[in-house]
Amino acid sequence: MMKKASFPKIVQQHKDRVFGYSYYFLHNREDAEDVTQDVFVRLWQHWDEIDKNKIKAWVMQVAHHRCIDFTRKRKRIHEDSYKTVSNPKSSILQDSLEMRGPDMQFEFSETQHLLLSALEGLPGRTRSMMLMHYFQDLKFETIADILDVNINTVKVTVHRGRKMLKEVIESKYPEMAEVSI
Amino acid sequence: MMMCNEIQVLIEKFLNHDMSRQERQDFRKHIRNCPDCRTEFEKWQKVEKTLSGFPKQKCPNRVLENIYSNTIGSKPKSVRRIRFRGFTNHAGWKWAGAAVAFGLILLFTIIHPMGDRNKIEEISYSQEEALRAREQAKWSLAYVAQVIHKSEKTAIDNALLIELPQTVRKAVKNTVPILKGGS
Amino acid sequence: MALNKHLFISISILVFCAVLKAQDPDIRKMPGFVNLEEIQIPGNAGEVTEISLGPPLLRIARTAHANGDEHLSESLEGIFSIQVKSFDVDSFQAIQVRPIMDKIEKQLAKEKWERLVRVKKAHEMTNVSIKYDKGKAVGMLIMSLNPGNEASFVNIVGNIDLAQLGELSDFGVDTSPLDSLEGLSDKDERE
Repeated sequence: MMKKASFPKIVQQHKDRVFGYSYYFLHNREDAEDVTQDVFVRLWQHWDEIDKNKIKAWVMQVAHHRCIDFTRKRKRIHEDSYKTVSNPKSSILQDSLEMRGPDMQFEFSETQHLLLSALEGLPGRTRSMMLMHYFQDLKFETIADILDVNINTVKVTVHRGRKMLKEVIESKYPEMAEVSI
Repeated sequence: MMMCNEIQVLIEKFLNHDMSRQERQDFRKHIRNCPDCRTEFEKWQKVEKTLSGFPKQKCPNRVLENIYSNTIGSKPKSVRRIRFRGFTNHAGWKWAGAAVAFGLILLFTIIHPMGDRNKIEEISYSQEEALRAREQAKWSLAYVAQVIHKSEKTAIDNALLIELPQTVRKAVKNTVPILKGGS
Repeated sequence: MALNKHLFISISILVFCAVLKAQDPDIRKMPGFVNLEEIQIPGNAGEVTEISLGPPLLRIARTAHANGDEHLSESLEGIFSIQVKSFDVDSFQAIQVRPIMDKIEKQLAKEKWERLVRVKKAHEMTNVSIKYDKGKAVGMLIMSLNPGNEASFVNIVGNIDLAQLGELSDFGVDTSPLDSLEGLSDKDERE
């Protein structure tokens, strides 16, 4: 595949997906932009080593790992800045609202904010799979490739994520259970 | 009735698109006729619908510009070229020649008597170099010990997460650490 | 002028390498030796530690004036070489390091090294292996990968006493990245 000719086409094909995943993972537009740029620059740098039939999985894998790096870096800064323990019941919503960029505060409905907060409370891998499946429309096979797991693991984990969200929403945010969508 | 007992499993199959056509038809038929199962299914559907309803994000153009300027549009890094200006004057040749001669002399005086290892090994080190080597050796061995200890602990912790018979669990917990003579 | 300098330095390095090679040809042939040279440390890696101690330096290190760590000399007895390569990796760099570790693991299995400890979780991995020759430990290899944190490779050639190593760790040696590899400052000067 000719590098210079194919590269822009591949960027166009996958940029929104990479950006979208990073955005919902990190809750911050600027960080998501940094991750997106990083992913495609690395794609350019490692062009010859990559299997061109698996580019989708490759870019998402790199995006996923970069998001984790960002989160770790951010967590260290956050822990240093916020020494006091906030009210545990409201902390999921409170902390994630604080972490979210200003544009995010106005982009979503209250229901969607509630769901984003509930997603925050999921275990890391479950959350990643939920983001990939629901927010980026990735098939289970692709998610399995990206995260280097068995496809059945993906199915079970995603369903567990759905179940957790359903329970959290029903118990902590009962008003959402009543809201008609 | 059988379907009601299995409803959770069936909902999972349905949402994962793991049902055959026939199974899907039977499932829908049951949902239509069973109010309890329908209510339960609708709760799941609400979560499904909300999750799928988040807006798709568009990558901003400035990101594309940055990507292209750092990839296709970037100039190749300048290659450091050795300039052979020195060869255009006699003084340059003189110095180059001296350097080659010096190197060759070193080569023959040190490498040539290769059989005499004792002589080679008598290269002396300063006190500072010796202490630095000692420091590095100490750090390396302590690092090795730390890694063994940490990974052994992780291996034991992981083993205890699995359901094991009581006798085996006890044996795992009482394992003598490798660094204390265990195996 | 630039050429002369380059020429002189290149020749000196060649000579130096040849000298070293003349000193230590046997290490590479020893059963406990593992070649870590092909491991490329990423150019932008943070916190890099690289150590390469051959027989002459280890001999000197053994006999150097001890400062409360006399047991170290005992631990170094019978050790011919220590190689360490340790560097910070982000998750992406870890993907590139992993195949190298897999390749080395295969090589160790082929050469009948014995695995002491192996931990494998998702993208993390630790492998501690020992090479035995006629019932005696003659080499050790440690590989550790923790994405978002560190990748390390350590090869020790020689007779390793694990119990003595354990004593060394009991003395609470600080194993945060060595930052004084270049020289000792005045305040660290031994008596």
